[in-house]
Amino acid sequence: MRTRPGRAGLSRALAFVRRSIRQLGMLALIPLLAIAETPPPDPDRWTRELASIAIGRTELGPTVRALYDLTLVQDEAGLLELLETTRQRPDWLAPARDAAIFQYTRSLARLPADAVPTVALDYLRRFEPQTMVPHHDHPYSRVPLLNIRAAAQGLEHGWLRQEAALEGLALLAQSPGGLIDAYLIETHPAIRAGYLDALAQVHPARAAQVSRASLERFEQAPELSRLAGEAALLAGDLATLQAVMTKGSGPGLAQIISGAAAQQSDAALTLLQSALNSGAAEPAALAIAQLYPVVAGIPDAEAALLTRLGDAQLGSAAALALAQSPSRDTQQALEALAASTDRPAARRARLALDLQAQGLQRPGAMDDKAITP
Amino acid sequence: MSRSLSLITVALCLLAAGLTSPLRGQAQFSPTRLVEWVENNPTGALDRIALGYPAPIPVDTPLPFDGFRTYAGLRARHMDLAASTPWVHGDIVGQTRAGREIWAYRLGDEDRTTRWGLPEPATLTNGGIHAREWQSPEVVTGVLERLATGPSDQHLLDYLRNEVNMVVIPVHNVDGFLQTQRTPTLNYLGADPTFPDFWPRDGRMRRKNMLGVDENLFSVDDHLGGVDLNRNNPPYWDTTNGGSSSDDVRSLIHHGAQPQSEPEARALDAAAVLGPVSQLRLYTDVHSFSMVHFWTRTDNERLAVQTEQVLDTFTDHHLAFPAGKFYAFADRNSIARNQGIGTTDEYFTAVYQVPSWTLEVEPSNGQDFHAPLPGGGADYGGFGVNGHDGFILPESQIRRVREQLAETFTTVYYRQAGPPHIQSVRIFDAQTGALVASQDWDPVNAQQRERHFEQLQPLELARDYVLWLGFSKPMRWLDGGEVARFPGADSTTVTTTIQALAGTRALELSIDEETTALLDPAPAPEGYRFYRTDAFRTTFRLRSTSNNREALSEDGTFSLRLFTRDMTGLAIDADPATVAGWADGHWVRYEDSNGNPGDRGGTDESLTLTASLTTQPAPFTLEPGIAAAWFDPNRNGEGFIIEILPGAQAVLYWFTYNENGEQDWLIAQGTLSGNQLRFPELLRVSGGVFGPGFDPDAVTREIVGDATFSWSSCSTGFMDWHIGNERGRQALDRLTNIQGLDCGPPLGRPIRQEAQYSGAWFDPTRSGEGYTLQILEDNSALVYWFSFDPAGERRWFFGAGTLVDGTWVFPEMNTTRGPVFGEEFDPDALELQNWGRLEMDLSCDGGEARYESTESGFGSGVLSLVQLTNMDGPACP
Repeated sequence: MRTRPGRAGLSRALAFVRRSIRQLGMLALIPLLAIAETPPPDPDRWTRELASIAIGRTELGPTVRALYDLTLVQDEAGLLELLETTRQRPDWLAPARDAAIFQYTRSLARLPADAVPTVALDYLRRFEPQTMVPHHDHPYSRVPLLNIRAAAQGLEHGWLRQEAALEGLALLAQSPGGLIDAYLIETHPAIRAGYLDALAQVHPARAAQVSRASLERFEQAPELSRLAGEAALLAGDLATLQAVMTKGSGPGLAQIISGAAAQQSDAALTLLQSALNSGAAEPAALAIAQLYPVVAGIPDAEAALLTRLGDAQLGSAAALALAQSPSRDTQQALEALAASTDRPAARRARLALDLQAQGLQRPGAMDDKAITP
Repeated sequence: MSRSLSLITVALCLLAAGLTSPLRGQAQFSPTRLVEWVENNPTGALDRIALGYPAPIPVDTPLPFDGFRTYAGLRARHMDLAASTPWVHGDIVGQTRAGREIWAYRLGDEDRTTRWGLPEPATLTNGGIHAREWQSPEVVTGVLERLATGPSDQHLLDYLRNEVNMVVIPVHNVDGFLQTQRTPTLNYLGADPTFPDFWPRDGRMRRKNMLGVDENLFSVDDHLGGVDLNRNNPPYWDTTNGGSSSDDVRSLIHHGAQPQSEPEARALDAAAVLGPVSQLRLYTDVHSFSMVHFWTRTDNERLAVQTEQVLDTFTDHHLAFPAGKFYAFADRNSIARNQGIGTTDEYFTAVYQVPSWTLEVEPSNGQDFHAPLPGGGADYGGFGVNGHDGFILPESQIRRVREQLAETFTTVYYRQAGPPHIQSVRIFDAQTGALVASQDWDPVNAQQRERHFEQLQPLELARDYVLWLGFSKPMRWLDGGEVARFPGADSTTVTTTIQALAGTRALELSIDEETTALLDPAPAPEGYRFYRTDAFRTTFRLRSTSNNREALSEDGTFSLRLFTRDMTGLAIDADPATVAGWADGHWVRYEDSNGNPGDRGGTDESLTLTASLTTQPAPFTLEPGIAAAWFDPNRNGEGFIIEILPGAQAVLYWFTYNENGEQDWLIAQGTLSGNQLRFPELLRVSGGVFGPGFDPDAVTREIVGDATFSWSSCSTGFMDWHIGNERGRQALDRLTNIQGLDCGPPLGRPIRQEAQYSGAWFDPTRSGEGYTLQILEDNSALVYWFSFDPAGERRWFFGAGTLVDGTWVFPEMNTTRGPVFGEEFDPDALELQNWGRLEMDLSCDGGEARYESTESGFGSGVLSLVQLTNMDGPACP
């Protein structure tokens, strides 16, 4: 077999398959009360149920507290020793050992990054779980009961975000351009999220400065969509919102438009029309989805979408919105269009009517109807 | 009966609930409560669960974006692409428990027939069986979007569209999916009977279908109900391996009352029928998460090997993306036979016997083979605070996941389309460009092909020849329009082996030109046939060595040994006489180099040629005298008029019949090359009517196929054609000799002035019909009139004439009917009927045609003519 990244590891994990199939059946018969007296199961024989019982019967608290205390006093050697002792503790079953270290890892989220020794964090990032349990959908594949590595990595992400938020506040105190520069340079999602956290904490006047500065640079840097949009929402800056909604892209755009719909309901029609006229399909389609519920039934909004039915890109978005139109005139227009010879528009009108007939509901709508056998 | 509670009431109850820890034991779980997914929960509020990044909210939009679409958005997208593209065809394959339609879509062209007239291979990809795994419908919709909206590439996408029937179910568990989207951030905790503190249930995290469950999240008596549709399938239904299936109706993995008790499960069988079942070669059930392929095996070793190879292709391709993800899977020796838990991939493995697997979409899940990825949301900058975050992919990732997995899926569809074979071989004389030998394998039915071989001249030693190989599929990966190694594949997939054997003795070949996959559309040997890289060319020479002379001294025959692989590493079928297919969990009629059927393929040695040790005359090449009427002696009643024009151009008129035995005709423009005339676009003209009602604006010209004519001499040759999914060939015998257009040595015969009128004539007000006139060596004339009947059906009339007082008189114009187009042509069915009379007054300035028909509805009339084409010979100035 060709060597591929991690393939050897996978083979190791699955080398027990035949044995496991036999043993898993046997394991289920082990009386629960006998668990504590039973020799520790093979790492590949734990089930979630048994592991959960094993954890529940172990007093983890003192060990977790001891680990935490060693962290507070920056006793690196002692901390590593206790981590390793815990990992190998013979009087505990493997799930309990993993659980103690997992709980300790999670507890570190209360501390600042520099309070946690690097060696400890490295230890946790490389920690190999001792308790593997069957995957939900494949009993022969094993996943960690407690993903300590992910928890450790998540801690770092949290700290990165906190640091970025502080840095962002400092940058904002100097000039809005500094935050924008930093946002463009950094691509790590946690750091960008930290910058957005910082933005959310400043006075709207400062957010307005960021919004205006973003607007000037938006043409050359559309990846500013999220930052510019958030700043515009905080500042109530319609011009920047309009720019983001006509030229923006990327994650978060839908939320920004949704926020704009809630905040700028008076301007929703204007925003929708500018998005429709922008020529950019993706933000325009999102604008239809997020803004139409605010402007549904307004004749100009209905007309704007009706005229987009024949649009190759936006026609389906317009149809989906108009399928939920409260306007009787729109209903009649759809029916007339559906029977017309204007092929793309007629097709989308039929799409709208078909969607209507299928009763596809927006998220949030509920039905008490029980689904019976 | 359900009991409704308001969210406020539930929240108040939470105040009394004790602090829960994910690490506490079963006895300490807290009561059932509604909780909301939030990005961060620093205070540990009991009515919230931290996700570590923003919880996605689905958007009611059809267009793909950096986020998740609602079911309405996805459905609108599917319906729109079905209505607006030729590549999406919707079918209802069942109904959910709530009576909602379950839609499958066939991707590709409307028919289920390849361009060779064979049944298309089929694949089935299922999405959204587990409601909460929103990645899945997006990925399967991504596949649909890629096939529906991807550019016409004359390569992989077009090949799949034309030759493969790809069935997808974007949202299988429609009821459950809608339930997750009604409350996209809410679900219960403290409810699961096994892990109440860890496992969120219903609402956003519903996994099962909605059997016995109402759609109101706040009614709490029923929210654990439903059946896990991925535990409801035979043959391993109710097999509680490792606790992976349960008869407890409250369980997340409840298997239902009996195998396929759920209508959703049964819908998969209906979707397989769209293949149809006999053509199905691949099944995938798309889930999340863990970034692995799960598969099972039966006692069918060959199926296991093929599944493993498909997964290799998938994984290798995906890993090759920038920052590519590694989709791990177990090798077959690590997988127990005949074991399962009731999943759909087990069902398709055991029952349909096709490579089947469960694709668990990213993120990873903390397994060491994915290191250094930590797993879950932490793979993307999340806080790693909840083990269920892997079910909720951050919005920032879904576009990449959707688009890249869709591309990877196309590669395994391509692989399972079947082993390649060398469909055509052409050998040209490098110096003159003349065709020397050709071989084609044409299907006669779904199992067999027949060989059509022509060698017009023996090959000579020490003479250069161009070898052109036409394959049944595109063979090489393209990157930026250039041939590149298939992503993740080893280098052997881009090599081609060409050898020659006389008996068992190897001949010494010089391969002067690297074998090149062709990227331009052009007739052989310059270009590809239907898809870029579906043809290769190289130049070779049989060396004039003592070894070769000795080896060829007996009868001069030798065979070419040809070997290569398709872009995913599937070797060519060594025996193209049989059509490779899939049955009983393995390839069938797929032979190796020894002729043994198997799954490996081998070297094609089907081309046997003759070489001469003596110098041969120069190959025949075309000259203007090839212009004439030609026909196949076995197909009297049908034929070809060929005009050779100046500038190595040609015009073809093919007078023939339709499938009903009524007249039909096709026209084409072509080019001369060596001893061949190539007509890449056969045109079918429609919209005209006979007589005064003719409207040139109503005339349409449709490209229906192509044709190539090859001659070995001035009097004989052969042609082959390809129209729609049909292919055929005919011998060519000369029917006429046009005055002034000698073929071969000049005959020196006198040429009368009227010879310049040979060519096409038409009435400029009636573009779409016309005459082709030949002034023959005996001073007579032959005319064909390609026109329509009064009802608009294509008709042609012909007759022989003489010059009488300056007027070409055709006293007996004839028409025919009877034979049918193609292989079933029967010359005995030909009925010849007199149609009427035609007179033509012609000059270099124009002319007039007068007709008087005896056939009802045609009457008489006059047309003003101009000459449209002049032959490459005597011509008006």
